[in-house]
Formats: sequence, C-alpha cells, structure tokens
Amino acid sequence: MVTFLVIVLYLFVVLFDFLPMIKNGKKKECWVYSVLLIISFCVIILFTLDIAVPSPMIFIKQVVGIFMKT
Amino acid sequence: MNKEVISTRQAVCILAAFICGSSIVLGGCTDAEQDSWISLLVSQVIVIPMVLIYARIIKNYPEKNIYQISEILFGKIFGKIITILVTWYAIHLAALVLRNFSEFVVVVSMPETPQLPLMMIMLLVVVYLVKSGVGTLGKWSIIIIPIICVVVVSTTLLLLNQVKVNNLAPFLDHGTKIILTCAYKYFSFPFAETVLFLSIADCIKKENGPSKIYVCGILFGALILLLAVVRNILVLGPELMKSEYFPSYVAARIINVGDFLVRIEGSITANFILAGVTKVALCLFAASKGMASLFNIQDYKKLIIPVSLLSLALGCIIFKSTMEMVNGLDIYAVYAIPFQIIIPLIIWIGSEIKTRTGGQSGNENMAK
Repeated sequence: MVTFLVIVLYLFVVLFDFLPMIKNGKKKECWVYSVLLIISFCVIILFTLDIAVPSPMIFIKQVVGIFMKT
Repeated sequence: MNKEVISTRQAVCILAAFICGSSIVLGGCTDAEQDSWISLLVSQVIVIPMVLIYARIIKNYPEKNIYQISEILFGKIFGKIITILVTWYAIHLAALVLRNFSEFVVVVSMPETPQLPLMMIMLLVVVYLVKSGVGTLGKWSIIIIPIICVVVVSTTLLLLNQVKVNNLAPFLDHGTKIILTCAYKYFSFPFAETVLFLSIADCIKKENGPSKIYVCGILFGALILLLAVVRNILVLGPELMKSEYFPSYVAARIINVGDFLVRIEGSITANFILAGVTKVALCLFAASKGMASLFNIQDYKKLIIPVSLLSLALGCIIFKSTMEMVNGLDIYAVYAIPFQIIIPLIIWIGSEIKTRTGGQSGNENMAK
C-alpha cells in the first residue's frame, strides 16, 4: 500500500512538475531534477520494500567516534 | 523574476519559529535534569556571540546569501565545496525534523501507522509553503508565533495547580561539567542551526540590521523554550522529564482543570506542526538555493520538489528507532561543529579580511 502511494506521488510529480519543465527546454535543470528524483525514488522504494539501505548516520557516527577518541 | 523580500519583523518571527521547531516538543538537552533551565540560560552566552558572527557576515555582504558570499570570497572551487557542505546540512536537518515529527505521531497516538505517509503529508504542506516564496514564509511565521506563544503560556498557566517547586531542587546539583555540556548541546540544537538563515539573507533589505534580527529572534525563541523547559521540570520532575521522549506532550496530558478541561495535549501537537513546518521550510529553502547555486541554476524554485523528496528519502533511512533518534543528540552536537561554527567562522574571517584590505566587498558591489 505504501509502495503504491509512493509510486502515485512520483507519477504526480513527473506529470505535473517534471514534464512541464522538459517542455520549457532547460536541459541542465532537467538533468539535475531527474538525477535527484531517481536517487530519492530508489531509496524510498527500497525502504518501502523493507530492503535495508545504509544510513549516512553510520558513517557520521564513525567519524565523530574518531574525533571523540582523539 | 521579482526579488523576494522580508521585513525585520518577519525575519525575527522566522528565527523564533525555527528555534521552537522540534525543540519545543523534544525539550532539548535534559542531561542536567532540574538544572536544564540553567544550561539553557548559560547557552545564550555562547549563542549570542555566534549569531552576531552570522549577522556580521550578512552586514559585510548585504543582500547576498551564504552561497554567493562564499563564491565571492573563496572563488568557484572552494565556494562550491562550502555550498555542498551547507546544502547537505540543510537536507539532513530537514530529514531530521521530518523524522522527529513522524516518530512523535507514531509514539504518542498512531503506533500502527507507517511513518512514510506521515512524513509525506507534512512535506506536502512544506513544499507548498516553500514554492510560495520567502515572503509567504515570513507572513506565515508572523501568524504562527502568537499561536505558539499562546499555547505555551496557556499550558503553563493551566498546569500551575500541578507545579511542585521542589522539583527545581537541589539547585546546581549537577557539576559544572554537565551543565556546560548541556549548554553546548542547547547551542548546537537548536540555536546554532539558525546558520541556515544565512541562505535567505539575500531577502533581507540592506537597511534592516541583521544583528537586531538575529539577537531578537534568538532571545525570543530562547524565552519560549525556557518557559517550556521550566514548566516541564516543575510539573514532571527531573527524572520523568529526562526519561520521556516528548516531555512537553506528557506535561500537557496532565492538565486537569475542574474535570472539564482535560486532554488538551493536541495543542502541543499543533505547536509542533506549526513550528516544525517553519523549520523544515527554512531548511528546504537553504537546500534548494544551495543546489541551484551548485549547478548555476537561476530559479531555485524548480528544484524544491526533488530536494524535498531527497530529504524525505533521507528521513526514512536515517534512524532505525525512536531511541536511536533521541540518543543521536550526542553525535549531532559534534557532527554539527563544521556547519555551525567552522564554516561560518571561515566565511566571517574571510569577509573581514576582504573588507579591511579594501577588496571588493558587498557594499562596494552595491554602490556599483
């Protein structure tokens, strides 16, 4: 159900925000938009399918741990 | 494109609402227990000089945001590195607040509801607010600040019959080290997070004093927080306040006036939503402007939706549990140092050197 909700949300975003931007013809904006959209879509879909996605907090904790020790 | 402008009053209200954000419900650092209010007051000693540095950056380069200033000072490459770091911080903070909100709702009222739809609902409102522009955020903040104040004051007054003054004792029981550590945690969450306000500094007119904006906003926000913290200590007591994830909500649940005015903890939820929306909105403004600056895109509004979805994705994966979220404050206090202290200090020193050596400052650029 949540996966379906996410797909519907992204369809809305693509139809009502991304496609008009493509029609305006600004390539750079479209590329940046699509890359960000794809990254967020992949992460959210993996999350909804209960597939573990590594959190940046793991890396942050390790870095902070090194600083705290020094 | 019309330039967005906010007045001094709007800027102060944005800052105050930003500070209330999630802290008004999470309660900030409670390590000092009954001395938490002292830590909050002590934190102002380090907060005020830091925000004066943020204000000085704006004064040296009026009507420019932090991304423009860092490129002017340090050139394209180093400027872009600073932009990437600040943008990451903004996205991360937006994700944290979204997650705070969804965890709050799940813990206090809807344990069976998945968190993603809750975050999506909040994000929809925030995206609409951000797409409407900084001016709308300013007007929104002016409206919600009295509501936040009324809720905090009224819950405090309604809890007067439950207050136990002994909960404040023993005074200064915790050593200086704990009080100062707690004060630093208050500094990093939420006061120094106002560094993100520098990303909308280009919307403040040159005539409006940034120092006045920052100091008034910080003190106003601190006053609201102080009232909430003292209320929580007096009503809940130090041990319960420390053990609860959302002490303000628990305190409001205790309200019982004449057996008819009960269960008004929904007002605390409303406070969280109002202030939380403002905090996430400012973070998304910062992140969108950062992304636009990074890729040399003129209109940041085109990137609001993908950036907000990115923060939503980050919010989903950032923590595994509520406990991890609450215990993350210790890590956050250290992790935030580069974004809240080091980067602003570098920019400030760079701007002062450039201004004093007679290089092109923002003022000279404006004269042209």
